[in-house]
Amino acid sequence: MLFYSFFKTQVGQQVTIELKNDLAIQGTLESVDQFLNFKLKDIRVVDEERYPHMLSVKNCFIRGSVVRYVQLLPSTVDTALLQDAARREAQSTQQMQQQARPANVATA
Amino acid sequence: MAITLLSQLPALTHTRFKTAGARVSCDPPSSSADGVGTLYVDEKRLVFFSSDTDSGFSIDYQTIVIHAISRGADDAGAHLYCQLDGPFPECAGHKAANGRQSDSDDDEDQFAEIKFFPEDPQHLDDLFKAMSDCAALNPDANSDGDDSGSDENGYCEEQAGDSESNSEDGHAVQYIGDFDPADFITSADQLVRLTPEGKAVLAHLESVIVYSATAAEPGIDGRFDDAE
Repeated sequence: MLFYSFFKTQVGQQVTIELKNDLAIQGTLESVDQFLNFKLKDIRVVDEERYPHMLSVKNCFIRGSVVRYVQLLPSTVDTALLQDAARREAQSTQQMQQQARPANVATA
Repeated sequence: MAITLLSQLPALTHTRFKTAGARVSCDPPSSSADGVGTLYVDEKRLVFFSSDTDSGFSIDYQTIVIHAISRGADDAGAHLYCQLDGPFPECAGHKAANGRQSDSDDDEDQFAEIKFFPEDPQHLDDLFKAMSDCAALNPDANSDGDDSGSDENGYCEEQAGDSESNSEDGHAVQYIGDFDPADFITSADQLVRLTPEGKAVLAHLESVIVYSATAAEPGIDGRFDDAE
């Protein structure tokens, strides 16, 4: 959920999405969903000669599972905040897993 | 990766959108993806079938990497572009005669690109939306319940650059050594099996864990009591 929320803050920003098949698409982030599927608008294929078929494509939907990297503008990301949020999310996940056990102990 | 060639129209449970008289083409060319037929955007998979040739194909949404509307200068050549994550199957007995396949597609993945040209280009926006909705309805099988696992992958990607193979395999599991599941303590009465160190660790963890005041306390407001 953390990165879904994070990408929602990036809506409207320029991103470059690099796919697992090496295609890289630059565009404005229009929307993101919980599976990190992305919709980009006003796209430009980064290496145009290799992929001529997307020349007249303005908007596209990219399946989250094929994304390798999402490249962002550093000025739009507060990495300290993101790191902190990620650490807190990890801790709350660990706590949820550990809380399941003491409930068994208490009823012994 | 599932692209199925069809010789009859399959049962379609929930079709979000359909358009008849759509032309399909494939790159690299395939005789199975050619001609005019009806395109069905069903919630389970994308189906194209031509009653003229009594043939068609279906594509699972997990196989569709990108879909987009491609419009030229005018609407005439406008089409729905779909990039798939693998090659398109040829019908049995045909060889891909296109030499391009071995030359320019020499990166690790060869992938097919399918274009659907609807009879009426005005339908493209609805078609695109239906496809986006159905793609969201069909996440990858291993991504369900992967939420905590994917956090681990996320950390790996931020710290070391070495987990690219992890994410490409889609595996969220780290190999940590051999163990016997029978050694795990899974209930309170098994706690007697703890070693002295294990008991010390348990005591320490219980002193450190902060119980949240809401859901974990039974009887706080009677919400989690057994039904009378």
